[in-house]
Order: sequence, then C-alpha cells, then structure tokens
Amino acid sequence: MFHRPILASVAPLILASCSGDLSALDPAGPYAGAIADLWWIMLAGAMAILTLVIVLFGLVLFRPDFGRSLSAKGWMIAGGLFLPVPVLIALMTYGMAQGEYLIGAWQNEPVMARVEARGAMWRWDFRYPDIGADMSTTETLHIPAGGVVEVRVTSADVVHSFWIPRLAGKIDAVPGHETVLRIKADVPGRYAGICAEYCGAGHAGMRFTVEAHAPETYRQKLNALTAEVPAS
Amino acid sequence: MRVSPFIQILTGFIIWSAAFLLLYATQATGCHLGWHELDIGPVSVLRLLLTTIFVLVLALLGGLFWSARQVKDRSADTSETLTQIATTVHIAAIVSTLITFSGLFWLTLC
Ligand SMILES: [Cu+2]
Repeated sequence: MFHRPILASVAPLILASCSGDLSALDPAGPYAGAIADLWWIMLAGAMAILTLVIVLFGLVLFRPDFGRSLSAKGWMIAGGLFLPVPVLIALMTYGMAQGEYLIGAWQNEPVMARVEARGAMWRWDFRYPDIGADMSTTETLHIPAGGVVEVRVTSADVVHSFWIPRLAGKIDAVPGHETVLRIKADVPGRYAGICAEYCGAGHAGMRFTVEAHAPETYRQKLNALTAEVPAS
Repeated sequence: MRVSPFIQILTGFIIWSAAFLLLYATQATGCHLGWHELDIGPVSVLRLLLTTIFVLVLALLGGLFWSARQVKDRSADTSETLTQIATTVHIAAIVSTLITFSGLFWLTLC
C-alpha cells in the first residue's frame, strides 16, 4: 500500500474522512487492499489528466501561439485518441488482472475455511459446512482471521449483493445459483457487511457483521456459539 | 447492391453490440452447462466456441469495411462524405471488437 505514507503526511484530514465501518478505502485485508489500490491509481490518473487539461487551458489563455505547431486535426487525434485510448487499455488490463487475482485464479494460497452466505429479504444467513452440516448463524458471519475464506453466496428470493467493504469486493447473490467470493481479514476484529444491490423496502437495513477470530479459537467459538442457542 | 450510407454507419456498432450479447450469453450458458470443463487440446470447448464467434464477428466487420470501401457514389458530395464516415466507423468497430472482447482469450471464463 504505497499510498499510505504519502497521503498520511499530505492530507490527514482527507484520510480521516475515509475511515469507517463501510469504507472500501480502509482495507483490512489483501483483497480489499487490491481494490483500494485501484481506486488510488484511478484518482492519481484523474488528477494527472485534470492537471494536464488545466495546464493546456492556461497555455491557450496566456500563450495563444503555443499550439500552432499542431494542426486542429492533429490536436483532435492527440487528445481524442492518443491520450485516452492507451490510458483506457491500461486501466482495463490492470482491472481485469486484478479481477483474476480476486477470484483466486492466480494464487495458490490455501483456503482456510469455507462458508455459505444466503441473502433473503431482508437478512443474511450463514452456514459452515466445514464445521457441521446443521451449523448456522444469522446476521453475523464468523470467519478465521489471517487466512483466505471462500464464501459461496446465493439468494432465497431476489438478487442481492454480498459486500464487506473492508475485506473484499462485492458479489451478486443470485437465486438458484452460487457465486464464489474470497475474503481475508488480516487481523481478528469486527467488520461490517451490507447488501449492495437494491432489493426492496428493507434493503437499507440488510446489514450484517463479520467477526474474524484468531484461527486457533475459531472452531471453538463457533461451537460455543451454536451451543448457546437452544435446539428447537 | 446499393446500401444507404446511413445504414452502413449504423451496422458496425450494431454488429459489435450483437456480438457482445452473443458472447455474454454463450459464456453464461457454457458456464452453466460445464463447457469450460471439457477440453479440446489445450483449450476448453467454451473458450474455443467464444474464440470462433470472435473470429466470425471480426470477419463480418472486415467484410463490411471492405464492401463499404468499394461503394463510391461520386454523384453526390454528401453521399461521398457519409461513405467515408461509414468506413471510419467500421474501423472503430473492428478496433473496439479487438480491444473489448480480447479478454476471452486469457480471463477465467467461469
Ligand atoms: Cu438485499
């Protein structure tokens, strides 16, 4: 995360407004980190292009002669093709490569735990096939910290979207279909999750919490948790 | 056959968008039916199918570009200009096809 030292020294006030439970700019793991990096790269690129345009505009205002060496058509080709096309191709390639990394195609890091998330109007249910077929929680997802967790996401009714901004990107929860997302929390803690696809009147309240436990205590915590709930 | 230059201007990107839909639909269907797991030589059936569609679309756009260049109606200036625009639009459609669909060669399909 190359941006941290620069930004922390230049604009602490701006950075302070980027933290928070649902901030994708405050990543707590490598997948969210990759997305935040892309965001910073795009911001830097946008700033560079804006600066270039403002400088050109200033030159036009104060030195009307400077652009005469290039014809009007030349300017159109330079500004309309040679500037944007390589930038867009580079961004697209980088974005796609990052997508490959995010879905796990380019890594051999072992999956530490597998969980299932099911969206329903308007709550999230989680299951833990690794630990027990009948083990489930509602509104809180328990994961081990420090390792890759594979989440199989689906829906009971309409299309929802499973999103933990500080841990990973979002993925659609589609009825009758399973989508797979990798998440990873570097350290134990609580992270907020939210439904990111409008799904009806209760959409805004369709939140959940992720509790990342130390890997040694993960299994134990989950067992204790389900033991507390009286069997019906 | 004489085709209105207006239609020529439109066809390139209409074909591009039809190809977009076709590739997307084939990819989704193939993933659902497991075609990405059947291999023919070094590639999967799904990738081969998508590549075939890609090549066919390129050939179609190339053919249209070629035919647009052949048609030169010297009788009217506007028609001449429009034909020129049509060939340029065809080049743009070919370049867009190459750029936007190139992911099907190297990205994970499902
Ligand atoms: Cu929802």
